[in-house]
Amino acid sequence: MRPHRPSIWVLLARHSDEAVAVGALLACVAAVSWGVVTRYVTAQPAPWASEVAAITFAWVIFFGSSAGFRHGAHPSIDMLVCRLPATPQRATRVAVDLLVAAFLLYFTWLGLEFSIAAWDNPTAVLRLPMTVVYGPVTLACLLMLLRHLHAMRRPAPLPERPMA
Amino acid sequence: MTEVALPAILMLVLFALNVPVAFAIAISALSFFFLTEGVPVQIFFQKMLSASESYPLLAVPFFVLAGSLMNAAGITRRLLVLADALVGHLTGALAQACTVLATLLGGLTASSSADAAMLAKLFGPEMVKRGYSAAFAAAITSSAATITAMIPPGIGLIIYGYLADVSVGRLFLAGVVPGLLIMAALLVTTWVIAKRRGYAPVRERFVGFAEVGRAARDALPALLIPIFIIIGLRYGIFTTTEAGAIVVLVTVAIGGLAYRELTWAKLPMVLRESVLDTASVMLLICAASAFGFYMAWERLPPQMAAWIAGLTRDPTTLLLLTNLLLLVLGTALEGTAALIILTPIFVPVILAFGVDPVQFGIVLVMNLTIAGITPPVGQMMFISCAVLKVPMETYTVEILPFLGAMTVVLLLVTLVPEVSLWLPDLVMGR
Repeated sequence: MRPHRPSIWVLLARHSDEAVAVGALLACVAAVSWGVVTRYVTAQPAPWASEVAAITFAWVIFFGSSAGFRHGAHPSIDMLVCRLPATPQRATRVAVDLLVAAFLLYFTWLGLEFSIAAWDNPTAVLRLPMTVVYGPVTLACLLMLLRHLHAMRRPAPLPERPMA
Repeated sequence: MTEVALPAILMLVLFALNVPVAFAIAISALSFFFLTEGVPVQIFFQKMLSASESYPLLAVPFFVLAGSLMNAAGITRRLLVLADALVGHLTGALAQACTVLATLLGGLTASSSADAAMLAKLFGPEMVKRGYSAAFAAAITSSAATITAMIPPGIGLIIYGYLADVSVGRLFLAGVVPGLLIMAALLVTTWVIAKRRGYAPVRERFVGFAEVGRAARDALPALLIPIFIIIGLRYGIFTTTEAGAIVVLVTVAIGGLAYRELTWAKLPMVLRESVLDTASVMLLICAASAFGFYMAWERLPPQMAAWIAGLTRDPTTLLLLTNLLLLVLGTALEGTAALIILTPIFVPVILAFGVDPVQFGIVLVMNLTIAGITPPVGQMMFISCAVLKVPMETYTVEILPFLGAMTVVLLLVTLVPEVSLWLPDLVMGR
């Protein structure tokens, strides 16, 4: 049987947040390094460098967090819950999942408000609308929500570490 | 009073219910905005993003990336050869080499958790094969990883410097001597245990200085990196953040051009790992910034300071009490979360008592790092136990002597300010 190969669209959808975060991280390294170089070469640091670094840093954090949902990268403390009997444990998990989903939905909504309001609000150096920060962060939060909802449909993952 | 404390109580409840730590903090911070009249919720959104606007915190992703790159670039392997040449002839050689490697690596990597995973994978299986108990292997690999937090660069110290408004350069230097003391404490403890159990050396006798010299020369570019960072910071050539970016470029150059081991094929994995590690730490800090607004609004830190001032007026007693409290809190709280919640509370207190914030930073970070290897909740403990498939009970027995040794170092750093402050005062002046 031929191994199942996901289409390019599926791959893009699956790794888009990772790709954005990685690209942003590389841009961030480049911007800060360029800032150092220009400070010594032209004695006048490129003023846009720190602004680009700040914008891309926000992208790294929020798109990286979205990817983190798929890789289980957000730590939590399961010491008490894993000692509960099966039914209350399940109920707690569902309640917690819904709470996190509600939070993400609300945060995305806040982000959307900010993105629209910030269109006329330019950044200090490059005079870009502040939406270049809020917009992608909002999108990343929406992706987090989708990843989270997707993960909720799956059964509980097996514990990765030995239980006491 | 209860109303004021509501978000804090909610946070602890959410922690207990297994809500991801970052979200537990963010949701409780948001509850403050809902509960309090006259505080627009827009501030919550802005506070959540404020950490991403911090230039000093940019050092976190850079040093995380540099650490992952070092591994892929073959730098870790060269340091391992050096560590083995140095201590391969000692009793319990593998465990000793693990401690020495952790110290050498500490100067390159910034994350104790990443190092715990690497050390456990690198040394664990080999130790078990040579007759070490698996639980002992888990205990020494997780303990050795704590050194990383102290030897510059370290993420904990960068975060503390940001929150407490203290020079990260001074903090980095202040961590060196305590880091070396932890190394010495672990070497001695391991030697005693290995002697009793007959954990054999890898070879009969010392390889000789020529061999050590050869290994050191091979690892030289890597060994120069921490010195390069400290000189750059000392003479104001670059900031901590810029140092991080430059170290990334230097590592790529060493791994790609000098050692020729960093290949394109390895890059996606390295980059993904760095992005995920960065995001999980930084999301916590974003949430904590929003939570910090609530604490500042309700004036919790000064109230706490006044309350503690009622207990004692002696700085040493204060530090000892703080340590006790941190050890208790640290057993249950995740390290980074504890650091970012507790720093704004404690720093005004210790400043009022005349304690140097640099010394306190070392005490705080060392304490919370030790908490990371202390059952029942500890990041590095989980990692080492998971890699070596060791249950927590047997780990607990094996970690006790190491915990004891590290507590002695912690007390030394707490009681004698010069242990941490001597080097920064020497290099950077008072």
